[in-house]
Amino acid sequence: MYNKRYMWVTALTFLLFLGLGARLFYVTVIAKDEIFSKAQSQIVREITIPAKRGDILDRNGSILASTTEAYRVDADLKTFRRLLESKELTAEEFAAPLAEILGEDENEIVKKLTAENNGIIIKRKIEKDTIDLLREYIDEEGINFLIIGYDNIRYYPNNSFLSHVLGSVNIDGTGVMGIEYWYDETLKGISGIKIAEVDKQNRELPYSEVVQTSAIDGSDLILTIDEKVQYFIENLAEEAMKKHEAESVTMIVSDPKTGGVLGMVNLPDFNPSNPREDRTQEEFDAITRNFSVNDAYEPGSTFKIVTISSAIEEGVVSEHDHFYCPGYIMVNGVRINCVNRSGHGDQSLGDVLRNSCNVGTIMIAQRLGADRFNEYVSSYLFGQKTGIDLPGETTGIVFNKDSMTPVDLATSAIGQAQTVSPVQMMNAINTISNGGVLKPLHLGEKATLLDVNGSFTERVLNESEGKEIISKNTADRMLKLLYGVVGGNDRSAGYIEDIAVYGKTGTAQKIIKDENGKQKYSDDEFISSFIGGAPYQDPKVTVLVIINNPKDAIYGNVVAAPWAKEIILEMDKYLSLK
Amino acid sequence: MALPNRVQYLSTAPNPEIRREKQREQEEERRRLEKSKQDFHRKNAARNNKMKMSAALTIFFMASGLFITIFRSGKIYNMQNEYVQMQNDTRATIKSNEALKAKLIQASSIGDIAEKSIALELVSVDKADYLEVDLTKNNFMETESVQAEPKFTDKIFSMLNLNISN
Repeated sequence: MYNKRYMWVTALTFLLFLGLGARLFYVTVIAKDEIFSKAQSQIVREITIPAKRGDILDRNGSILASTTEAYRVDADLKTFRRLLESKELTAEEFAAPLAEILGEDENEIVKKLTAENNGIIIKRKIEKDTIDLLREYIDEEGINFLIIGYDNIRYYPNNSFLSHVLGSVNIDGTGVMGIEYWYDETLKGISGIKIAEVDKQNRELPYSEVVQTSAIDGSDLILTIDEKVQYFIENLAEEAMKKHEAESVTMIVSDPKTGGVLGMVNLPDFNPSNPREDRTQEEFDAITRNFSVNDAYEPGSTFKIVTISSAIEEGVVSEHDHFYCPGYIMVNGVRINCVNRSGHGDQSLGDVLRNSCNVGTIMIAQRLGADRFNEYVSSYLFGQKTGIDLPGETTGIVFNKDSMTPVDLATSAIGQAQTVSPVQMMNAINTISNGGVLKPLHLGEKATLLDVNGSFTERVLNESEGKEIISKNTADRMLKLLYGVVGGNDRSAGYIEDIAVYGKTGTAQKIIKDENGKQKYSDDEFISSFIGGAPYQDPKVTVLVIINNPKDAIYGNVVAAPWAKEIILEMDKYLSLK
Repeated sequence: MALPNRVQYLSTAPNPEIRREKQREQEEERRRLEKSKQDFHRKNAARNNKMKMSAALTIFFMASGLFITIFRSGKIYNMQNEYVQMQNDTRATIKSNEALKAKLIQASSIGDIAEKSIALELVSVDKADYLEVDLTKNNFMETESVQAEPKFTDKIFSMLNLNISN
């Protein structure tokens, strides 16, 4: 009997050990990898170390855009629903204090907390002060369904200042407009990764191995923009907008020797931190268009600088030539009127430019001929992208040289029928101001990076040798003629006694659509502009002012030139323009 | 049941010599057995003592080893824990710094600075407000000769019209 019992116990023990052994074999040999990975997945966290987006700075190092770390709050709705069931509470009871702390609408929070999903983002881009308050609330109430994570905020300290140039980033910090978009690769950097064993509270466990690849931060971008110049042209543009009740105002200030933009403003503008606000898609699209780059307009008489400089370069006109203006000119049977319908009479080349005489300019264009005219139009980069470092650049519309009629040549020569972008016009005046060498307009000066090892690298952007469009002699003669228009003409609204201002005004009728949807020139909507610089002997600054649809006056000399004068006077405080 | 075969003695009278001899042998045997028993007990006790000692020593060494291992592991664990804690503190400090940086960035608005400057009645600097000096050349007057100030004692002596040196 004892033997029998002994046998049973032995057999049972043997079976037990056999089972255990089999299980051990299964765990340690057969399912080893699967079990190991399951265990690892429970304690190992793969954490992305986000790269810090580079700052955008002005030429003097002032911050125009910068990213700092922030927080986000997510809700685990499965846990939240269990909490509500177990404590017989409602979502509203949690939503009210949450809304108050986060500065959100209570109904929105309720909507999020009662969503069908298992998890939802409650709010992103939260500052530390707010998150500290939230943490206090979580600790006091013992809340377990809210998850605080890391995020980042892109700050634009000057709000709408330079908005069209800077652009903005989306919720994930990727550039979607302006410089932020154009230089996204430079600014964004490369995210790092960290693999570590963590506890329940996501704290790294001791004794565990940490594998880490550091993030490479984005480069800082230094612009050619001067914050002070930008500040006063922003203020002037705002004043101009109010005074003329204009539809939009565009001002560009640049350094003709480098092609660097010192200031660029388009009004109305937007806040890059929140460009959408409560706008409809249509309103958003309209307000975020950078008129300087994205839109084309008929330049009017300011385009005469291209016609006349080309003619001088080709030697078809000189300062000694005279042109008679009876008030109109017939081209292929089409009557084209001059600004002065009664005629300017006999004029020198300087007078043609000073009087902004259409007839004289058309005569000059006729001497130049369509082929040569078009060659220069192309050389000055009209009808094509100039390559400015901003997205969505327009080419403008110029005539096809093969199908250009004499009337097309005549109207084009005086800045009508063809459209150009403000950037293209700035390139033209900069070429004339830089001894005939075109240095394309640009905004990015250099990208700098201080890497994890502490080494500093600098990359120069937009370095260009320049391209000669007209000779130095032609450029100097052109500057003198343009000086005669403003600096040598005390009746000009841009005239400044001590500063040798040169430039040209323009007034162009806007193209509108009639009742039938056909395009036509408007009789009461104009674009008034001024293009020029100072001082003409050694240009240090060039200016473009465009007032779109002013209500109180229309002529460039009355509407745009006074603002250009203000800009040059202000610039004289920083640069010696006398 | 079969009975055991009995030995059939021819004479049953005992030999006294044989009897004495047998007693002596028995006595010797008893003494020998007693001695061997004592030896056995002594040896056994010695072996037991040795085993107890070695077990105690083993336990002692194992306990010491265990204590050292646990103590060292605990120490390393604490150090790593402290390190992780320090890392967390560093991270918290970095976060505070970032929050501070955000405030600084927000305060660097040129519009706000201009507004505050106006409120403080500050004026912007014009070219007329500063002096341009070329420091690459000598800006001092060449003709001006610099004479040493007379000493106080010299002044007194000169007033008294005394000449010490003479």
